[in-house]
Amino acid sequence: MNSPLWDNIFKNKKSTKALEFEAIKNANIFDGLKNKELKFVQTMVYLRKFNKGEYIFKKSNPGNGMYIILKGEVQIIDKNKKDQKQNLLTTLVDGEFFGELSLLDESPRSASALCSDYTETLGFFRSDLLDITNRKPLIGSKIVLNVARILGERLRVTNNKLYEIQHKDK
Amino acid sequence: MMTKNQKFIVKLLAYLAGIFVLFFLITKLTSLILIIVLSILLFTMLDPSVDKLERYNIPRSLSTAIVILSVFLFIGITISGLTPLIQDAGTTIVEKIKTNDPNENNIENIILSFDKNIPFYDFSANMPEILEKLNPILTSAKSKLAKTALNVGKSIINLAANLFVIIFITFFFLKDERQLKKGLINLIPNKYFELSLSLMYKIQKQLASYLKGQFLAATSVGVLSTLGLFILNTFFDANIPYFVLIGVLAGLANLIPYVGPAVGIVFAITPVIFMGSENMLFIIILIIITFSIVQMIDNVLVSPIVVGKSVDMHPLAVFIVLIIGGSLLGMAGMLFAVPTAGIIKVTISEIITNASKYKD
Repeated sequence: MNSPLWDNIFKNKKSTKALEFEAIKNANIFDGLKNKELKFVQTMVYLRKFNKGEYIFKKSNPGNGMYIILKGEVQIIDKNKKDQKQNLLTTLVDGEFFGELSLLDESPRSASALCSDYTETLGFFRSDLLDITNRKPLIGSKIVLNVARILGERLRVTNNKLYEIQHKDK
Repeated sequence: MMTKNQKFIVKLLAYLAGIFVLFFLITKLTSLILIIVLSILLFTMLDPSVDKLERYNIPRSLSTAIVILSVFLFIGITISGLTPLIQDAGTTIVEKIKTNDPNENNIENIILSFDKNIPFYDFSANMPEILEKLNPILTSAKSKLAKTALNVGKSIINLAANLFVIIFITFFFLKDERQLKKGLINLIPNKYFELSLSLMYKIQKQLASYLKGQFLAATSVGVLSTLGLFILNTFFDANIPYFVLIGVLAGLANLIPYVGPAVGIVFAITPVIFMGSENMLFIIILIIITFSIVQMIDNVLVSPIVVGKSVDMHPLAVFIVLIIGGSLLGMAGMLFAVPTAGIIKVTISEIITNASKYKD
């Protein structure tokens, strides 16, 4: 079966799987997971493709989970209540991820995610995390610990900024 | 341009056409739909057990095989334990109706035994009259009984074949749960992706707890009824035959709300009447009291804890659902009507509560 057509199909399939694995491995939410465990996580994520201009989620929708960008570009935007203008908060590219706090609860999304280019993402959701915790508690606890670590880091950054602002005023 | 009324009429006609097509499909594909619904019910019940086994690092395929084999074992033990009892009970009842031997406990003797129990009517004096009225009923009952036995036999063979198909489908549902879920989710457009995922999870959780609750409530009614009848036999010398079989049937009947408990009492009273013992009325009263106590324990203690409130249905809705189930599939339809309606209710209420949270 040395047909270029088949080679191409299998090569693409293999490269997508390898790309997915790399993306999961590089996301710090899955830090400390062994290759076998990462492969298990890979069976739990969803590959989603979005066209340019398509929303991944909208502000105030219930948060269900996080997305890792495989390729493409995602803008995190917030609508100003007063003039209804869209403020660009940040632009995320290949390998970056967003929405990880939604793994913990169903709080509404604080901003919208809009694809500014054709984008492929891997979605990992709270229901999948709960499923992992149920089926493989060790993997589940490692992921939850990583989420807690990320939260702790952000809280420290926020505290420092608050401290700086308070001391600037004085 | 259509006016508002015209649009409404078109919408209404479209809905009616949809309902008609759905009804047509349901009636044409009843057995297929039933098999898939039952497989989903079984999958939902067994999935937590497979997950639990997976926790001990047993691969998913092996976990599924262990759980499915346990189900086969449970069904096998239940059928092999109950079949002789059912056969024996059936044969005894038929013989009692058929026999004309005066020494045997035939229908005349059974009627005469009523005299000792029911004081306000003289059964022995009115025997010819009673027999005259009863004979045509009994003759038709005998022929009906033979037909029913044949139908029951056919149903059991059908059920066994269907059961095998259901377990076969459930095996793949359990083993390839993740791939199937992913395949299904892949078909959903991006706009509804998160909503569908959240809905699927919530519905599955609700259903699992509902089914677990129903199973536990039925088991508790079955065990308590058996225990109650055993106490009557031991301490009140009631001599109720087949009390284990009656207990199992009462537990199973309990899946049908409102009607089930009464069916349980009928199951228990019937053999007592055919036994025609001297203190029959006393035993019947004891049976009614026992089943009332079992129902009280179930309603006050067991059901509130194990059966979720989310699937509570209005009595009228339960009756309508039972009639629909009964008319579509007979006794089996009645048995599965309420759990199926439960699935539909949970699904619709989850869609209504969750869909409103999502913006366009």
